[in-house]
Amino acid sequence: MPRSRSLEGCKRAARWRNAGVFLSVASALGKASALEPTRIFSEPVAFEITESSTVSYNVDNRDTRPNQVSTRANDNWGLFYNRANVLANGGAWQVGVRIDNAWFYRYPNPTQIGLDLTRERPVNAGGASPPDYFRQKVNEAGVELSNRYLDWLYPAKYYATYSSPALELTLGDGYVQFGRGFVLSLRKLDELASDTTLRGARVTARAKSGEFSLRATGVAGSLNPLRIDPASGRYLGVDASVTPGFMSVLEAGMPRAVPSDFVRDTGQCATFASCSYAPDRLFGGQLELSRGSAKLALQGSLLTRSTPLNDDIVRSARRVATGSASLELSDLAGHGAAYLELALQDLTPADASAAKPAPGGALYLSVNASAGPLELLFEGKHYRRFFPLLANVSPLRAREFSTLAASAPPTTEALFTDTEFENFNTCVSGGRLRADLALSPRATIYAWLGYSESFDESLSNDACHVSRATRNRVWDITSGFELHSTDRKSKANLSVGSRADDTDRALVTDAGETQVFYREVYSRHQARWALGGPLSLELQGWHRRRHQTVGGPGAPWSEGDELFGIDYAPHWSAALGFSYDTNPAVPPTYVNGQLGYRMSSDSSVSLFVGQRRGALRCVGGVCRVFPPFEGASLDLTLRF
Amino acid sequence: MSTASFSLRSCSSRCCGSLLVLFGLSACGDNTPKIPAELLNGNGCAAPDYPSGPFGSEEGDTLANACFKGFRDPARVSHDQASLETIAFSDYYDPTGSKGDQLLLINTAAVWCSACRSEHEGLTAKNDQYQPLGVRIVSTLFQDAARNPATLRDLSAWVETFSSDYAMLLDPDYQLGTYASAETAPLNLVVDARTMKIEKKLLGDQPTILWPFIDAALAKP
Repeated sequence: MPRSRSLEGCKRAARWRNAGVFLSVASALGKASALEPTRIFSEPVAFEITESSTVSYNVDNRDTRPNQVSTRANDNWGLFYNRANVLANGGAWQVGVRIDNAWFYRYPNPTQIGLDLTRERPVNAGGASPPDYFRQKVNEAGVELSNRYLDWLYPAKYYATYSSPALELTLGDGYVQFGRGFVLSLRKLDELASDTTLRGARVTARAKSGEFSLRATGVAGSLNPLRIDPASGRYLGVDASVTPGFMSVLEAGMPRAVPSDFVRDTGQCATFASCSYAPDRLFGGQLELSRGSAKLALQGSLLTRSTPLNDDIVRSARRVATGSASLELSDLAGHGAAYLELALQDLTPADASAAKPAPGGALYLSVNASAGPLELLFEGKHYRRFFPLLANVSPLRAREFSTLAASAPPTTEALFTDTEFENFNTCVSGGRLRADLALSPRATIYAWLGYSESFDESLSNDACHVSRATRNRVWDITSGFELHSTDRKSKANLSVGSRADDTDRALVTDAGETQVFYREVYSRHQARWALGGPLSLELQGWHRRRHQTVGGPGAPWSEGDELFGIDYAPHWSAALGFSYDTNPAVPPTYVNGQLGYRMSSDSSVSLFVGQRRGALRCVGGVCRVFPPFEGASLDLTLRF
Repeated sequence: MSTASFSLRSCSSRCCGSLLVLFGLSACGDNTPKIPAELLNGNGCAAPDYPSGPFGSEEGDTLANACFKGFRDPARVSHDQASLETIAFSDYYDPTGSKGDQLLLINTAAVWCSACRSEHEGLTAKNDQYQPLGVRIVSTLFQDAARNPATLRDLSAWVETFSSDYAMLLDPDYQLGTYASAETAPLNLVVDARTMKIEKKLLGDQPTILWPFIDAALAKP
């Protein structure tokens, strides 16, 4: 239930808010009875409750730009966010539910944003008179806030699973990963605070005959991402026009788009400015045949949309069919493993008069081999018009969710790489070879070399025309070492690397023409010293010198993060963080402190106070933009 | 779009529960600030013949008029203060077709925006192709490389870098923020010049979507 803008709405919101907090407090205090195993239908049932709460307050995060509403709308707001998980295990059954509750106890006001921007309007003002400027900024702020900072209590995840050796059946939310992610990849990524499931049904059947094993999986349902982004206060809202029929059952209780003084309900999500999400219908299947260490698999998915909420080539497709065949050899005579996947994709535009894109394809190969102290890993890819299954989110209305997708084609890059610009991975050929050499049981050196040619990075090229005019050539080279103490309690890892990304065509800039698209040199390190007893020190950092010709600040800039921590096992930890950024578009320095206390392995409380740099964070090609944060955040996790 | 009511998010303290006391924070209460009288009466960008509201920012809505400073035809003028003129959307309103304007393509751009730069690399050629067909391109430059309001210097550098021969305007106020947040630039609005209704609203540089749509719109009777 959203916070409404009326007195009645406020009362209603307060009741839901109270219910959410009551739920969290009750789950925390009710452990004595909740934890006792009980018998249901003569079956012993064990309950597990996990309660995670966050109270945060965001002050001015120093990203304010003149005349820009969105940089004002992310200051001075506070959030109480609660996630209550209840899990019941009994025999072959497992039932779980996660209830999320967001309560924004302080939030910006559009009129105040308009007044602030009017007061701080630069002297080189544009054409609008002050009253017109003010009115326009208030309207803009009203629309911007129409799907931010609204209170919600909703069933984020729920499921019931029956498991037996031959059959597994899940109704409700479940994760799905077919192959290496070309076809479907719905999973939880804690590093990105992402947890996307398929809400519907999943059936897996297993059979074995002699040396052969067969596993068949079928899924059907709709994409169910977390609907609230605690980092920005934005939520994904649906309306009745995009949840017809059974979809209304799957979306029951989920956050809805709500009208406001600035946004009217048109009855159609496409034109309802706070409606930001239209759940996709997903169907998929996988057939896996195994014999020994060899596994052959066929997998496919069909994504269908109701109302496209954006016009990019993927989101404007009414239907996206993706299929792949994969072969995995997990043991190459004791010296390695290999994986090969070939995928095809077909997009059908929602607009019947639009030209149908040519089918896309992807080929991915991964081989690792070991010989004595040497380990080699090669990953190669050749993708043509192969797109991630972007969720039907409106990037205009909920830009924080714009990278949400139901698939994640592999990148062949290092996990942390965040410099694949634009649609780099949709029309690309390349690979990476990594070598690890163990010099001793305690010391390893490693290096990798990657080369890619992308044809959809420096200019828009959905059709994937392969030519010199569209080509970017990217070299990526890194080397480093890793040291361990004998007891492995202390370790150090240091690497240095660089990336050179050039276009074949000349790029036009204010300073003239160039073929340099992007350059970077960097170092990464992570170290942990066990000082004896319960005390240990940790140091980790990433320092980068970057130059981005198009879209960058013009000149090279430096940025980096350094975190120094002290751990007093098993309960206490503390850390100090420092970041810097010489890009003139952002503040130069950031300082923060963290203090944590672990009550047990599953329960902890931590406090963060200070500043955190805004950044694009990527894990294996899945990326998310995190806005800059300044303020304090208290996290509590309890497990019973 | 309503412009009269600014009473968002106000709620009575009666609705506040004890939780507020617990957190000691202000979820409820009237937080609507007072608006100075001098900000209450604006005339907008006056154009008597322009379609009346209500105006909106979504497809199917009528585009509100707005005024800018800029170069109407940067290929024919020097790129300095003396050549700046006031240009309004209403200049392209053509209900009878007497001006030969069929579609207005309103585009946003920023110096920091790589997709905007990529888009403008090909926009002059597109203008040469579509201008005779009745398509008027109007692009607004709103921010510089450091995301501060664009200046005349930025505008001049832009039109010289991309050899722009379509209207390039300065929008330091980011008046087009009503249609899309700055972070999502570029924005392309395809507007029917006969009605000033928004026919298409596109985010990002999407030539494979934009130009076929314009072709289809031009083919309509």
